[in-house]
Amino acid sequence: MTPRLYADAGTRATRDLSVSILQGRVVGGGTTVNWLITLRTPEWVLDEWARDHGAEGMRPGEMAPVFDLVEREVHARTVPDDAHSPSNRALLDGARRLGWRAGAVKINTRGCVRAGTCGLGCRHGARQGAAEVYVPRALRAGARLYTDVRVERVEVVERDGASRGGAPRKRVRATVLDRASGRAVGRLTVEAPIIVLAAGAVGTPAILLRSGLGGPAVGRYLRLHPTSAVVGEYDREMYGAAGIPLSAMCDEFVRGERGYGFWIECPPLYPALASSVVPGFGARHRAVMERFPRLAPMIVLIRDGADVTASNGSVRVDRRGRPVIRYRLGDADRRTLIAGIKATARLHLAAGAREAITLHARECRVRSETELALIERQSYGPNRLALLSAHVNGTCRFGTDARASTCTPDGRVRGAAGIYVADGSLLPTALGVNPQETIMAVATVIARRIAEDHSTG
Amino acid sequence: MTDSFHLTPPGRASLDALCRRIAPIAYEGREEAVDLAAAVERRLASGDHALARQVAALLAMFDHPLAGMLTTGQPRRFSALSAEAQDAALRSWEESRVGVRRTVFQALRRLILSTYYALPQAGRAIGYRGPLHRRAPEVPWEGPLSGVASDDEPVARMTTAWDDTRSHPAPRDIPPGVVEGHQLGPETAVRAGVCVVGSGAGGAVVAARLAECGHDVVILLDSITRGPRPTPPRARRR
Repeated sequence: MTPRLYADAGTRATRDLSVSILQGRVVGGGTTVNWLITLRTPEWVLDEWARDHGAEGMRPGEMAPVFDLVEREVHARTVPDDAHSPSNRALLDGARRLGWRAGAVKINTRGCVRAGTCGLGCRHGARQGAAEVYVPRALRAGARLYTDVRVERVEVVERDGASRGGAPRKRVRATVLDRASGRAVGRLTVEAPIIVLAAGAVGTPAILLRSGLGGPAVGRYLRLHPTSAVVGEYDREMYGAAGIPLSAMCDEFVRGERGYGFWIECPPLYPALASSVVPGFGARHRAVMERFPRLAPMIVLIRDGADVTASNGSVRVDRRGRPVIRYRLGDADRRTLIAGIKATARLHLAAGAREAITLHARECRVRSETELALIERQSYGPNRLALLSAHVNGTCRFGTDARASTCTPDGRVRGAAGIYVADGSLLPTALGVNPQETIMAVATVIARRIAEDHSTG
Repeated sequence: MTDSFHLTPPGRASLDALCRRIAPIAYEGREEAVDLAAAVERRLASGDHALARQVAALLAMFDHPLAGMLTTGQPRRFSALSAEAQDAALRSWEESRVGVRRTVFQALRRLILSTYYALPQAGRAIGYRGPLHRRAPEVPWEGPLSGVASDDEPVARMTTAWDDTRSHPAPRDIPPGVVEGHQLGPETAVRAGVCVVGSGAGGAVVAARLAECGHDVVILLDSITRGPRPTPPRARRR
């Protein structure tokens, strides 16, 4: 992994290190280093947003054309049948044998050469993410992009009484950083009536907290799609460091009970990342790593937040203004996770794996259906099972309840006219699908709203 | 930040003992044996020093004789224990009922293992082939597929042999409109119609849509390690 592409050089995690958090910190954000899967927000999630969170203009019928537009722009195309890697093929075969719903997915590439190093950014010019599609479009339309600047806070210069008939002026205060050392070398101030915060679900609430804006819910209701993995060992070469990392998914169980279930996908297998999630140390750890070419990992992601009134996690800032992330799995979410790990182990066995290894600190290997019960007997407390998240959201969510949401349903930060949020932090619930297409589509809705609210004349 | 971070001699001894038990594979006297503790220390020194100091504190905690008292019943430093006793101590931290001890264990474990397995010789030892931009395709599921490319698909297809020129796109110019931090003086003030913070799935989309309908947009980005890459010429894709 190239640490420079990730937040906190790839070491970002919850305060107790129980959940490792992978967030892109590069032009294009997560879309520059993600595994490219392009999925629409499920319709039942959009219905939930309209019903429980007051979402406006985001019903399934209203979002369908927005998804069409985004998919056209990022060249989302279904991975053809002859292109899957062995891990993804195993996922499809195992699901078919079990009678579970699974299928090929769309990825946003053009001429993908299946290198498998997507997590390092695409070296092959195939990725069609924010940096390749939308940043160049913004620049061609006259936008200016300042790099190496860390936003400290937003100051509202005029409380009301807008100066030019538009929204009151604000000042964004930023520190210019030296690229090599990260040291502060200057200051940049941007004065503008409209501010759009899209610094990610850790960065955006941190800016609002440092600014004293946003009310009591800022940083709360963190949702992570907590993710664990089950590593299958096969008798044949699976070599997961190459090939399209994520080209198929199994969503048989995503609706779970009351809409909060899990889904299963394949990640790439790079040595350094694999070594930090494969459990144990010494001979035990090495015994797994030495089988690297025959290992196929599958990840299970849960739609967290089943207890809809509980916050579960938060982003705060410390005295120096740096983000501090806390997260605890809720009870219902823990049950979903256990069911998900069991299902993933079953999928491996159905696909012909010799054994399925979970990421529990206490060794847990499953070689047959009858051994699946071992998974239930494991401990699930913090740092007893490796958990990761690459889907950070919810920390400035929209909603109708001012005590439990930072933004109004149209994406404005409460009590600060002209400040909008347009990233994963705005999402009112976890999604149950990988988020990039949802965020692009919701950002499109927010952009249209800003354009309606503020004419350029 | 690359100037001055060093562990104390006891911290270094503690780290060395941990590395030998956590990643013994690194020390198995083939021609590719590595000094893993030195590699970890270099990695700490090259990153955020606040983080490095935290790790140094964890090492001190781990190696404290009182920690030995808790884990092995003997008031001895971790680095002074036998290999078997060290493994037992590590397991007791790994499965401790005290959450903080599990956190300390995982922090040190991941740091050491991910440092080792990022080394090229470690990759070779487990059969990692390295990235495709440094070699030709070796397994059937990497590289362009055979056949005729279509815009209805996300993948490359070729009727000829692998063309590795596409693995090495020409260096980019910084596109017009981009101002890098080093081009700015100590104090810069800018006015705009819209200030977008971030350039990911949310920020870049908002910036493009508002700029395209006539707004004067400024995008702020806290890093740039890799900019927009040009799509290779269609001719190369065949």
